[in-house]
Amino acid sequence: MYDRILVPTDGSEISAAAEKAAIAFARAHGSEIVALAIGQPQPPLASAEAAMAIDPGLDDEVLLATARQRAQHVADACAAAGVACTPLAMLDYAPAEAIVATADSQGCDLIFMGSHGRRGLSRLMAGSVTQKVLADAHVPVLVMRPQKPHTHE
Amino acid sequence: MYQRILVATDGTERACGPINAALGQARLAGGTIVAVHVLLESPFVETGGTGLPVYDAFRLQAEQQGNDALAYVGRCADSAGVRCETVLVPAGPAWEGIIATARAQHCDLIVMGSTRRHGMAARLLGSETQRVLTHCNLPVLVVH
Repeated sequence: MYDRILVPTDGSEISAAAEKAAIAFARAHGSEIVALAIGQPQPPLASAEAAMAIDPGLDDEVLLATARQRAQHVADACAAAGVACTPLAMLDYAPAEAIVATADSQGCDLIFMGSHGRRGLSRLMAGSVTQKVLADAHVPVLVMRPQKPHTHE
Repeated sequence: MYQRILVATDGTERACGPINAALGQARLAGGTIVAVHVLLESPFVETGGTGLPVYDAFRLQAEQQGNDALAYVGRCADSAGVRCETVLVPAGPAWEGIIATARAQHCDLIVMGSTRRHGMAARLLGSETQRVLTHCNLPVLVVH
């Protein structure tokens, strides 16, 4: 039914839960997984002061290496479960757009992703990246929500 | 995989994608689909007492539409060889009815359409789908 599933990962807890569920799902469907990790580079600096404050941890190469690690982490979990996986890492300022574009370019027929349940006002939004993916994706999107319910219902 | 799959139908062709996706999931795991239709809310302000005939006419028509919508899903499920249960939910906000039914029926997946619109609103997700995503912890499969 779904042959190639795009699993975006951001290294968070909910993303890890979504990865686990996606691998089980892929196993049941006999599908392969495309694991996508996106590093978000720092926007171009507006001033010399900002340039002084640059965090070397956000250096493009470091970001890309971290993204590669995250994608490989999913690939390893897939290998352990006997699911074929293509790990992808990239840098992009706009992760949602990158997810939709990768789903298209990789010929994925499902996007399987977690959505951050935030508190307060932003809880009203299901997670801005997921939100944009849901609005723009050309294929079905399976959204995993955090399993621990928040206090106010 | 998913054993009890809730699929929401408004009785229009927009529900076809979600129905097919739900059937596909159910067939895969020998699961059951739970088709849900939330009755259309009456546009009339009802002041209590005996209703005017127009209230009853509206309600009857809404129920008829709901039963037709659910019967359609039942026929789809029959031809796909999938077990199907149907739930007609009293009028109210659709997202509340969907979440309440998912809990009451112990569903493990909700399948919904995205009801994308044209123009400015094209970037906005269907508001019912949006609210289900926000207020429910079950996985939601959003089908365009």
